[in-house]
Amino acid sequence: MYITDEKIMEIIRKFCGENITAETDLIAEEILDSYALIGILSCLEELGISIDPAEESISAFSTPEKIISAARKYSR
Amino acid sequence: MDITGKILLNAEKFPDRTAYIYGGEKISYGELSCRAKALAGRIGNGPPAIIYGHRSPVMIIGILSCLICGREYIPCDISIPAERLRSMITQSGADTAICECDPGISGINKIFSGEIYSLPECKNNFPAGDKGYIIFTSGSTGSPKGIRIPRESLENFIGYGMKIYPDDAEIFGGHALFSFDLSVADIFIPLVSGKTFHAFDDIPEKDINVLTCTPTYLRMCLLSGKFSPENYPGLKTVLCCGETLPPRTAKLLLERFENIRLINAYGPSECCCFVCAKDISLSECDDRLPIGTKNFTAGNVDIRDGEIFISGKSAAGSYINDTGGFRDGGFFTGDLGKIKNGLIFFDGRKGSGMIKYSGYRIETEEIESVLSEADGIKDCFVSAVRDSGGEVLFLKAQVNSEKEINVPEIKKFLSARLPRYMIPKIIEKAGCISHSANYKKEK
Repeated sequence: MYITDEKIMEIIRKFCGENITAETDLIAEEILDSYALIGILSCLEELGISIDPAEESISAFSTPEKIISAARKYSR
Repeated sequence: MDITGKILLNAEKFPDRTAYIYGGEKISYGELSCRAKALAGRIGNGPPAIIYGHRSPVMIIGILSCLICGREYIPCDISIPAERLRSMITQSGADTAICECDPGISGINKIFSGEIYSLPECKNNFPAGDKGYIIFTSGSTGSPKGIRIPRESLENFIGYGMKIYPDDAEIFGGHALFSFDLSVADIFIPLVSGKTFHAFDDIPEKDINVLTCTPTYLRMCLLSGKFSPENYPGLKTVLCCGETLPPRTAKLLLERFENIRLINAYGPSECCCFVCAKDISLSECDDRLPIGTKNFTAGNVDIRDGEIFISGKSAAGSYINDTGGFRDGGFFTGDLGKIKNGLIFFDGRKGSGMIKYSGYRIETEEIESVLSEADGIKDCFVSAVRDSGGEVLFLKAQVNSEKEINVPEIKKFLSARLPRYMIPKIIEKAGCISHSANYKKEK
């Protein structure tokens, strides 16, 4: 099953609020904490995308855009 | 059980054994005992003492020294802002701070690592004390709420915990900050049993036999393929406490680690760490998980009008400033629950402003009270955004202000006053905030 960018964005919005765009810096704006990150990664895992947080630096998750590209890397 | 005596006796029996490790630092039982006695001699009996830092062995020395000389200790992680620390000092009457690093406050007698490691040996005998610790959680009045746990409760808990944890484990792992009461199990169970406590921040150390953690932390571990039986060959027991353990998380662990023992534990900070616990098997993971068994608890666990009520030594504590749920010879937890076939279940919070986020207890009223002080804010309303299962996703603040709000500035203001986990992720301007009688129900 192909997961659209919009579906991933929907998951990110669920944990980070509606008012974010693909470029929002989730870390600088203190939106993404470890709890939210775990939530996002767990939801992606349920869709079959297993991003290993131990393999990535936190900067890989700094914007929704980067989270989407990380998801793409792991769903290949 | 005399916990201080047991730890000091362990030091006499095997002084070279490692008591505690964090990162590159470790301390043996012999050195821990010697330094703690020396520090106890230096500070003597008196008002409570702050233990400030981030997991260095000096904090363990400080905690043990307070128990030896009969002072209450107040664990305080460096993530606690100075203003909050000042409130903790004022409320508790603490006059001494045992410091791994500078807490950035004045008006208190600060003793640093350098001095602690150079104090002369102390041969004094101290009478057995009745003091335990004070831990601060979020309070609804705008300042942190102090919970006083006497030695009686602490020792009662250790006695119970030692029956729950395996006795053949050597290395106990834990991630809880010392200012969070799950660390009471992390610190005392191994030290009283003469084992090693290995603390860590992000990823569990590979040598551990036991992991004590919040379910959120366990979820994080399980997201990584590296958290596997191959990488953690010695890991035989995981104990979860601090928030609801989702059945899915339990199932993932039990499927990945064959033959591992998973324990789900429950207890409010007021009743010293946890009061009940239950081993979880794979067959239970299709439904809500029990938090304990009625006939094997640290204190008596009963249900009164649907609310979990704890009595006995577990409930011998008190609040510094009010009585709250301590009445009728026990503690009303504010948690709803039921007992079915001898198993205890948690049914959520009774309608209050208190929520759980990432294992932490948060009173939304405390955030509101602090946020109202920020520049230009006339009124505010903090609520939790939840998923369909009722789990808190994040905190949201709606503020009433005549001018445009500067979110980074407001977050900076909050960071100076509240721990990070209490800062709302979303802060937005609301046209009008209705404080209707029912508004709490919507939280």
